Amino acid sequence: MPLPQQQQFEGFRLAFPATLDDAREAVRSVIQWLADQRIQEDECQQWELVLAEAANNAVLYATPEQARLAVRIEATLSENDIEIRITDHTTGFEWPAKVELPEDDESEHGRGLFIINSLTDQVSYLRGQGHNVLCLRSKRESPPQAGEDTEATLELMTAEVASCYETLANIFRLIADAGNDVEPVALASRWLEELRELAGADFLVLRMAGSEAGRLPILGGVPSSIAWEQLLDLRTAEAVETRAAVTRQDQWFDGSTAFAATDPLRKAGEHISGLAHPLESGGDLAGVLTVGVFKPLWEPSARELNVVRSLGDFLGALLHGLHRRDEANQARLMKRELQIAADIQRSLLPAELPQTPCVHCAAHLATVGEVGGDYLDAILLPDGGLLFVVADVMGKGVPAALFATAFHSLLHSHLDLATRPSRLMQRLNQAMFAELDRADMFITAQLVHISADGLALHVCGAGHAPLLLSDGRQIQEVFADGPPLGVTVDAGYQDYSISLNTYTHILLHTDGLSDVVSGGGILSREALHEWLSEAAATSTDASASRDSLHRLHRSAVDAASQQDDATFMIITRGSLTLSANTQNSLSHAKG
Amino acid sequence: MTLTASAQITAPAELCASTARIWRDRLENEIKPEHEEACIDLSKTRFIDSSGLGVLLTLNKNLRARGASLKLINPSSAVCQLIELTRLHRVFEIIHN
Repeated sequence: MPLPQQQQFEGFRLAFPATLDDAREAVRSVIQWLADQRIQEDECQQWELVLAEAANNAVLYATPEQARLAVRIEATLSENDIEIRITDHTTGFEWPAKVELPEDDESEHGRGLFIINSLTDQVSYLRGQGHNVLCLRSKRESPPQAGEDTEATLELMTAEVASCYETLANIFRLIADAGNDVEPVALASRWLEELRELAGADFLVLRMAGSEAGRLPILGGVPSSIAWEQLLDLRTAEAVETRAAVTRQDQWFDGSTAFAATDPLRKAGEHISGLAHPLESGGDLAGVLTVGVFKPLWEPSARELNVVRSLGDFLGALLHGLHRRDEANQARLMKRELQIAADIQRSLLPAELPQTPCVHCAAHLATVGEVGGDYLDAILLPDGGLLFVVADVMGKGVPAALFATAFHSLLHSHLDLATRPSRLMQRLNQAMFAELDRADMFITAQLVHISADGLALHVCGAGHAPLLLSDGRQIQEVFADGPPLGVTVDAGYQDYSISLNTYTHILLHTDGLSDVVSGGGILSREALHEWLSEAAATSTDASASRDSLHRLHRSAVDAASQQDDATFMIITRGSLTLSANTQNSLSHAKG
Repeated sequence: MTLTASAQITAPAELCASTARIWRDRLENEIKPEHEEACIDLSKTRFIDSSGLGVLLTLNKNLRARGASLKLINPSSAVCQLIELTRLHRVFEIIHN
């Protein structure tokens, strides 16, 4: 490498070939000269950086032809100033009116001019024919006092150590706080206030990912006087916080940021600046912490930024953990609740279905998941008659099970009305209306009374699927229908009376079996009718018919990959000997 | 406890335009795809210019693109000042041991 040429004039001057190695060597020489002139060490450090940037530009922007010409550096000292000129032979460029950092914080280029401009008091760039001169000038600082450097270094180190301890101490306090089983919102509010003070910020907003994907609900915001947006929609909003969440990178904003009209940060005011920092936990997005001030430019120190990031990350991970723990507890509670509801539902089923010499019955009850709202009952009355009941409480879980319990109790306490199903239905509606109405629920039901001799049937329905009867040749569909229980307090119901002389099969069912009523079931009306005709023509065994219908429904359900949610009861007439199955003919399916 | 696969690299005394290419090649050799983080020890680095910062920024971007991270360990106060001046403390994770 050729040695830089140098010679003394009123200051220091040297020329060097336009290569990066020579430029570096030249800068070292200038700095050594400044140090020899008793220029302070930190000033020398600044000049070293400024000259490196300037000399690099002179080399990097030279064409091979221009690079044949040497670059020159001249340094002069006056009582108050240091002035250094760099003359190069590049094509040159227009010095920008305002020298700024690149818009993209992470851009690999574009900082050289900013460094030169920031570390010197005065810069002028003279672009000429064949050569350009960059003239840099800064005031000289006063000579150093003995021991000053050591003190400054100690001060810096002390501040750094204090900052680390401060963050660590706060993390310990946060752990202790979280261990007190504090509610997450309260924990977040308290620590946002702490963070606001530690970071020297004016406002903070913390959004945590919840159970709903694509949305970030707010967990806390300070000051509380601002009506912060409750929900950040990650799918539509072009907001600063959204960008932080989607890119998983810090998003800075300041007075020059063009906030979208829907950006929730506009709630903080027009002239704000700060940082939206994504929070992650185990590789997942846990939330976004936004910190800012009510002025157009926020220049946090490294310490403040460190506190925000470290404590924010820790707070986010902690709250994310609490949220997941709450979700797990909630799931356990819900499972337990469904178990209770299923137990209640099972307790309401008759232990055995009553059979008489003239009337046999078999039933199938489906419970989707842990518990459904279907209910069935068959009651042998004191006079030998029978009351058959199929009902469907809207909804599932504990509320549906509680209403089924109430329905069961009321039904059994008004069996004196069993021979007049319409009056019994009316009584049930009046007794349950207030509670059903308050809970915004309803019950569909069908009550069927068959006389002791098995020859007369009275049916009353409340918003329920029709009763089907068959003699083996034809089907009768009985729509003995009034409104569901819980819809109108003074609903009127009517009995439909049928002579059973010819009918051998009667089918009660919920709308989970067929699409006759609401399209909820899977068997078509025609398929159900066809099955009933055939069953009535071939056998009077209620259990055999029940099993046959269940198989038909099951195959349709499997074919459609749906759940078995059908409940039905088959009543047959005849004087056949009861089969072993019929003694307790209630089948029970769990979807 | 899971140990993070980490590349530990001590940066040279000068990270500048004239050493950028060598430094970039060295990083490419020493940081393997299985490394989940790269820790660059800057305690011995007394001088860094915008080209040196550019190398660190490229490294940071490349690491993050594959889910890994970059940590700058113990930069001197002069290096810290430059990082703050260029607002790159917003980008880099800086650790003082």
